[in-house]
Amino acid sequence: MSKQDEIDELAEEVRTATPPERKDSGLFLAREGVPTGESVVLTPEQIAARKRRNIAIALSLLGFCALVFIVTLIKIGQNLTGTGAV
Amino acid sequence: MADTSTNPGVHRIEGGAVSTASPRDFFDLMKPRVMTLVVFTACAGLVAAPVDMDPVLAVIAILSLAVGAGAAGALNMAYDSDIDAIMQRTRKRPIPRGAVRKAEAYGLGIIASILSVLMMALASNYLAAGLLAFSIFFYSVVYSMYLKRSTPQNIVIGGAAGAFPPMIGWVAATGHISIDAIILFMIIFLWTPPHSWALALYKCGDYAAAGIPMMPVARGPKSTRLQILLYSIVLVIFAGAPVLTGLGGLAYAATSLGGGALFLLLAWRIFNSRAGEAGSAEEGALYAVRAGDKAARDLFAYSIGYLTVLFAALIIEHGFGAYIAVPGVGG
Repeated sequence: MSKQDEIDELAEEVRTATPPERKDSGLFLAREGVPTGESVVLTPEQIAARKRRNIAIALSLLGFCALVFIVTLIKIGQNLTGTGAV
Repeated sequence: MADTSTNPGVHRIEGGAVSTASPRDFFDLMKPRVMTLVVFTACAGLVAAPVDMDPVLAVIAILSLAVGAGAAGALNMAYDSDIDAIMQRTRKRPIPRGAVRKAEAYGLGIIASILSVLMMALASNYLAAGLLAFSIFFYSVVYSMYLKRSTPQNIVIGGAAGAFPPMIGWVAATGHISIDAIILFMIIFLWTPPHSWALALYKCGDYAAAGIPMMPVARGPKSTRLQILLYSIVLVIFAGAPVLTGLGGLAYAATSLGGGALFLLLAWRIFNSRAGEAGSAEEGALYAVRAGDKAARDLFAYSIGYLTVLFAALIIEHGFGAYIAVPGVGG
């Protein structure tokens, strides 16, 4: 058996192998190195929902950064006032 | 999920396990109604405190508290998703109806907990942040994971978690725990049993189905009605304590007296009723009730108003300059 035949045979074995039972999609199996040939196509609802969630996360992070910034400014102001520097 | 493959060997799965949850679903995980009461009572503690806090820092501290309470709510919903799916009142929550996965709820709860405590520490002080962290832990771990499913005293002990907000508000402003902060804590602590048991009386079928040993399920409706009355008496007496220390003025005293009298009247009505003996109403709505359970529903609804008015009196007195000391008592 040639090298190429061995590779083809192995590839066929992998293709026909029953993937371990997982609740999740083929993406996880692919990540573990088992090529399932599966891919997920998102529905328009899923794309829209993901976009909304991403925006919400981005706004939350921005809000958090803004709050830290505001608190820092106020605390610096209080410290300067406290030490008589202002 | 549908297989949209046309080419043998290449499977294209439409949808897969990708979520369609909206930000609103995640917000619902944070129990917004509970957050409202938390924010309100925390405001009362912060405003009634004898130390003025920078208004912007005060708003950020209250926001941190709200997020912390929401985080605890999300952790609670994640852990309780199995029983939420059984109970009519809770089966439309985001996890039981499949909008959000349990792991996502845990993720939200943990991240929001960390950020809220961090922000509280930055905006106020470490003691307030520590109390916030402890209250989140107490609610989501001690109450949700242990007390709730193991003892009829679950909401008596677990009520401490809900009693922390006014104390945290107070500590955020002053940096220390005083007798007045403890009094505010105790008012909510004593308010929780009659409030929760009134709900449990007319939703006891739900709790029994889920195997939660709420007082009406474990000890029966009669014992629960008696305990509601006893706790109500203690609560109404204790609600007068702020007047004695000078924290509450005339407006608070009048509110406490009038509101307390009506609270006792409703508790007495429950005691003399057969509330809790008919099982839960078929409908899952919070205020849906069978005819015999109306007394329990009335006290449950009124108790929220009672607590709101008590703390509103403190806010009005201390935040809007309406404080008039009760002659002969207090500071």
